[in-house]
Amino acid sequence: MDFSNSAYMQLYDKINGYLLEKSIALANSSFGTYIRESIWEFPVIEGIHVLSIAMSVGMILWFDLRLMGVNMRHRPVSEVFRGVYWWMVGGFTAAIVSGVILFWAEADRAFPNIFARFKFMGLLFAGLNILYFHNVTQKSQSEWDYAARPPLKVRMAGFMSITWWVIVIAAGRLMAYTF
Amino acid sequence: MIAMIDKSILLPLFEWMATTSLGQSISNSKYAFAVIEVFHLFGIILLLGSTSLMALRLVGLGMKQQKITDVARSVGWYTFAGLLTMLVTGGMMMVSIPTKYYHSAPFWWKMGFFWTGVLFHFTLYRKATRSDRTGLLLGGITAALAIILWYGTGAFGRAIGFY
Repeated sequence: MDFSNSAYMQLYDKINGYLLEKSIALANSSFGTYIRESIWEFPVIEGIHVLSIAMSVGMILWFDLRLMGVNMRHRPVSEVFRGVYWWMVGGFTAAIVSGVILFWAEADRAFPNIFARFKFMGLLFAGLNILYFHNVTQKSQSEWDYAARPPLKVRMAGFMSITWWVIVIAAGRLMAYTF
Repeated sequence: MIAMIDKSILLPLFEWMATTSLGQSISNSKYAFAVIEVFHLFGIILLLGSTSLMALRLVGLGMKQQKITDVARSVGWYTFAGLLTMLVTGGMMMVSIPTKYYHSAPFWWKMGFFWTGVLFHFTLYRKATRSDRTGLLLGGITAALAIILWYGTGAFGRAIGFY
């Protein structure tokens, strides 16, 4: 079977080609060009991107480790969550906004990059992990909120979250090397 | 302050680093530097995440139900692990391309912020986080210094890639 010419591959090529075209247009837009060619803006936005990731992922890691029963075991899960929530959300918002601007400026090179795709995949799975945790696992939170070592499904949610964020950060850094 | 110190006396040291087998094997490898830098980032996340948490507690913006010393005890190990990771991976990066760092202005700013941060960490920060009676004044100054020194270290570190 010639896989390279299968219906799936043709569809993939079509979508890929369409998005690549859009990415090139994005990078060549006046805003994209302005950011890319700037002396200060690009490095400053990149700095904000790295530091806001460090803050928000640091906080997410803290909550994940509580879910895994590793730290702050004597405090309820909900209390640890409240302590980090707004800082996590604030840092993550800054990371998303700065990340969108960086992608905008270099979309033509970022979109086809293999590590960029790993990073987006990691972000997607991290998001799905949060959705599943919030809509399914957290329904029974009253049963394990005070548990020093929460049940396996809760520890798994924390472990998976850390795994996806490690992938996002490693892929994000490696992406910059392959530009 | 940093500009006043004549760094040229350190140039032979930096030139020697490039001749070490560790430095040469990292710079000859295609992926070693990139992988080391990823771990350097993990170290920064541990350091910034844990000191941000401590800073929030010191100014009463987070985890108020817990004592300062309790928060300090639980974040302390992560801060230390972050510092150690940064030192080891940072040292490896430095010996692989020492002369690039020597000529980079943000590198010297980063070193200034980093070592001031280390000094601060084992003095004022330690004093403020080891007592539950630390007030908003001492707590606020400590939190502000922690944020400025560690986030400054990160910002100048990122700038090395550009300047």
